[in-house]
Amino acid sequence: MKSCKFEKLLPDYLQDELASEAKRQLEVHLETCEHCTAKLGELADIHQILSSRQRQEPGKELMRDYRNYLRKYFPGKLSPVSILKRSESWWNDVFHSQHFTLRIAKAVALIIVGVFIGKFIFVSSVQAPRIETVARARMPGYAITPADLKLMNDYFVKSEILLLAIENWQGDTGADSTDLLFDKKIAQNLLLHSQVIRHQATQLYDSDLISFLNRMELLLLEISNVDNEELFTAFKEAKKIIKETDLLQFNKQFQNLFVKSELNNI
Amino acid sequence: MNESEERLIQKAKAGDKDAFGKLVKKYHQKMLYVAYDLMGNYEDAKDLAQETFLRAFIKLSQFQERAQFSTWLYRVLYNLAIDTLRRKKRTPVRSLEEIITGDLDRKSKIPDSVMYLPNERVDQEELGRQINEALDHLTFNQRTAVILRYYHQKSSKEIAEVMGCAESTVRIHIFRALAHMKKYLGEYKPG
Repeated sequence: MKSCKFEKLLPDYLQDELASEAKRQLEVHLETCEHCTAKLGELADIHQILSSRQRQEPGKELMRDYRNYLRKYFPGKLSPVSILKRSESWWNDVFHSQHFTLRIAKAVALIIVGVFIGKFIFVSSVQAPRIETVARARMPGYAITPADLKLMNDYFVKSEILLLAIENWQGDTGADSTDLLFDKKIAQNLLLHSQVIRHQATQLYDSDLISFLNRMELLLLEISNVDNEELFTAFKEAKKIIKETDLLQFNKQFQNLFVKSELNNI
Repeated sequence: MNESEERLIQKAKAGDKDAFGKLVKKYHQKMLYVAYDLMGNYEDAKDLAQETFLRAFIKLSQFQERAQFSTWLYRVLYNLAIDTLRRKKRTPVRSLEEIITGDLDRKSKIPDSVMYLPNERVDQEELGRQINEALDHLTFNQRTAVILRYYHQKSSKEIAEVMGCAESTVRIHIFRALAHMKKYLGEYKPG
């Protein structure tokens, strides 16, 4: 089939993406080249068809799942200004409705919610069980039970085993597939506990610890969800992640802290 | 890149997840759409877009401010999409005959629904389906180049950054893609 060196520029020409000199040269060329003129016509049709395509929108449920998932990892707190704007528009919605009955109903609902929240706060402040605090000096506001501490310590020890195993893995394809499967099981087990651990960590308000746990969770997801045939690739990637994010060093740092806290507690 | 985005990226690089959360909020819809355009369904697109943000957070230290953050995100997504498709082995299996004959007359492979399009007005849904079908027959790189150009208004230079290739290669991908699509959508006259 006959071709012309200018034809590759035609899509850019249609999108008006060419620099002025290239565009001028192409236009001069088009006056004499039948091949390119015919091609331009064909491509213009496709260009128009593609441009007229409307994307199908995602379902509401899928969108909700998607956002919730992302929010779980990256909360992205609202700025004070946007909080103010949101409450302002909400307030307008509630109290400037057109129907009087609707306004009354909304006001009543608001009072009920207020009473409920007030009661909840009052009761929980009176009845909340005393939580034994440990390592308060190290982390102000630290409040965690010895059982939680043990669980976290256990998590850090197992994580270290897994991290070391991956770091020391030599990348042999065949011989160590049993080891990889075993490590995958450890990762799945750790992943099961990671939600609980994260919950404990949020009580400590320690951003380094939360950040470490998030990175750790991503690593665990990388290994746990992969098909057995793809384990080799996943472990290679995991090894890279460990190196890049200093996970082992962070693990040691937190492990030391929790071991000390646990010992002090005894 | 505007200043606030730059500041958010700096904070996120220092491990501030809230700052990264704001970037996620800004780009999550765009990423879902490009993932959908590449994968062809929203379930896979959702997984891909989610993984893109997680991966981007881990790899954020590698992001250099001389590129646009959105372009870098596209690049992360593109690389993950390649991995995902490789895992799924989604590429249609080619028959021995096709492999031997190479540039086989494509018309023989075009499904009837695409071959015999009515000349009259085709509604948007049907058109969308046909375009998706035509896109499915392109190579992954051709599809990516077309999608980024036509549905995400990226220039050849930006597409080249996303795909990690030369601008001239992008031009060739797009040219070949449109030429192939012409064979699939040839019967349909726009307007």
